[in-house]
Formats: sequence, structure tokens, C-alpha cells
Amino acid sequence: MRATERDTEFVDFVTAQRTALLRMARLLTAGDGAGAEDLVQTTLTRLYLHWTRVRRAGNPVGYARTSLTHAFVDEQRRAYKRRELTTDVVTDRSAPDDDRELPALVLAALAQLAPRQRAVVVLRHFLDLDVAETARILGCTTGTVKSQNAKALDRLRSVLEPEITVSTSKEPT
Amino acid sequence: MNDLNALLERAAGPVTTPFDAYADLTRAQRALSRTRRRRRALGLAGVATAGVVGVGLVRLPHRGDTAEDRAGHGQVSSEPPAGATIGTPWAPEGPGLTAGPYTFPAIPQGWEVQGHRPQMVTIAPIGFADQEPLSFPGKLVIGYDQNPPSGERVDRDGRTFFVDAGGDTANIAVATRAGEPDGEVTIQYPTSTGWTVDDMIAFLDGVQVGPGAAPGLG
Repeated sequence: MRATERDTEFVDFVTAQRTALLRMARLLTAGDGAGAEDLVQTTLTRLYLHWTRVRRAGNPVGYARTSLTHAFVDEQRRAYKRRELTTDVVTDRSAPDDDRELPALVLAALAQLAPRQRAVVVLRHFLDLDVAETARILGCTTGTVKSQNAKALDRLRSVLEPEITVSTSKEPT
Repeated sequence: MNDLNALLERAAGPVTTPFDAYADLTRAQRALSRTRRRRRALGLAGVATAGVVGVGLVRLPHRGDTAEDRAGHGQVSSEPPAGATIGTPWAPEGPGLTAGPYTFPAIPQGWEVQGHRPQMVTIAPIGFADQEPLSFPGKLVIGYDQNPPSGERVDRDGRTFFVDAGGDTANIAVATRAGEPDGEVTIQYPTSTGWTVDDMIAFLDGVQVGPGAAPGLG
């Protein structure tokens, strides 16, 4: 593969997918804009380095999502060594005054989840992936995905409700 | 009632944001250049994998061995005990084999440590034609890196290994342990040895990185 061909395809991919990846990263990082940008840059660089393999696999979006999730989990694991974890975030328990507050409350609730639980929520409920695909990306069993999903939903509800009630069509069974 | 998908859609931020795809391209091209420079420095580019001998790994050395027993003129060699293969448990009986900042429980039977630097240890078949420690084709190399790992994830005993074993040369990386220099410890070996990924993950899991390690180029 010629370098110019790789470059052209890469730029096309970035143009089409960068915003979507950044939105996914923003949820994974619970609203940390700089952290999300770092994750996306890391992911895109990995993608470029392995572009021949990515191209051969025929699913660059899937590869990028997987790479982004792994980068997030790995970074969280490293960060865990560097900092003390906060316990509970003090959140305003009053109902959101307007629609602008809602995203901030959701991100604050996501911040209460363990990294892998947050990843499950993003993969299952934001990207709409099924349990098997989520398990493949996270390198765990489908049972683990289901249990992590259930715990994550319980935690989200405990943080957000009663001001914001949460429903989903993907309740664990 | 709020659907979680709708909540996440809103929390994820704007669906259109300005960006410069060519900035990503430039960043990625620089990373590729660094990777290629490093590979050239490691002597990997364009070199056919040399024939290698010996596939059994043996535990070395035994408890009570001193550094002087194991090392001579900056290199390490020892007599392997017979019968202990790579399939045996990897918990070292002794302090492990140390070369520079790296400690590992075993080397392949019939192989020897050619040399070490803060960046890596080079292990090759005894009598191997290429005696240059900084030339790696056909050899087992333990290294330390701070670049993002890549490859297929394999979770084993609480650690996540990244395996890229699709070519003539296999690479496996894992994050260093707490207390070790932050980064990844890696191994590279020729797939013509027939060593299995599982065995080499077990080998890598036994490698310890000391404070004197320095990341490889790139």
C-alpha cells in the first residue's frame, strides 16, 4: 500500500468518524474534554500505524471503537496508580432547571461508575452494541457484560433519580 | 421517563465539531516515522528470520546462585537443569536470572544471553552466527517501552497482554507492575521457534523490570 493511499484513506476516515469517536470518548471520560481528545488522538494514531491490517479487516469503525475503549481502560488503570479515587461526588439533588443542566448531570452520574462499567454503558446504550459485541471489545464474557450493565444501571439510577428517571430497552434479564 | 440512549446522546456533546484531519495525519505520520526508526535501530527491517534451534525453556538458575555465578563480562550464562521445559510452572525457585535491569525466570534451553542494555536483553541460540546484541532477527528480546501497546488483547491472571503474532516475528506486551518503571515490558521472538503464545505470555509474565530500565527508541 502506497503512503499516499494510506494517507488519503486515513484522512477520509478521520473526516467521517472523528466527531463520533470524540463523543464516545467524552462519555467514557465522563465529560473530561482534554482526556477525550487525548483518547481520540491515541486511537487515530494506532489506527494509522496499523492501517494495512485495519483495511484488510474491513471494519475501521469497529477497530477504532475497540481501540478507543482499550485506550480508555488502560489509561484508567494507569491513572489509578497515580491518584486517589474520590468517593461520592456531591451532586445537586434538585431537578434540572433546564435542558442545559441535563448533560452535566448525566456526565456526573457516569463519573460515579467504575471504568469498565462506564464502558459497558457506552457500548451497550450509546453505541447500541449487543452483549456479544460488547464482550468481544472488552475481552470479557457475556455474563460479565450483563452483570456490569446491571450494576451500572443501578448506580446511575441511584445517582439520577428521582429527579431524572432512567429507562432502557436493554434491562438485564 | 428518559431513555438512557437519549440521555447519553445529549451528554455526548455536539454532533458537529470543527477539527483538522490533517493534524491527525501529521501526528500519525510522525508516530509511524518513530516506529520505523526504532525498527531500523533494532535491525528488524527487511531481514529474514534466521533459523533457530531449541524450543524448550528451562528454569535458571537455582536459589543460592550469586550474580557472579551467573554473569561474566557483562553477560549472563549458566548451565540449564535438564527436564524443565517451558510447560512447567514459572514460579522461579531462585532469585531469577538477571541481566541489567531485567530479571526473568528462564531462557530457552540451548540459548544464552548475548547482551543487555537499559532498553533490552538479547537472548540467542548458543553459537548463533549473529553475535551483535543490537541485532535481533532470530533472537528472543526482552524490552521496555512506553509507546501504546497494540495487538490482540489476552487477559491472563489479572494482567492484559497485547499479542501480535501474525508474522515472522511475534511481539507481546504487558503493562509493567506497580513499583516497576511505568510503561510496558515486551518480548519479541521469531515464530519459527514454534513457541506458543500461551507459553510466551507465561514467560513474559515472569519478567521483572528494574529501575534502571530505559524505554526503547520511539
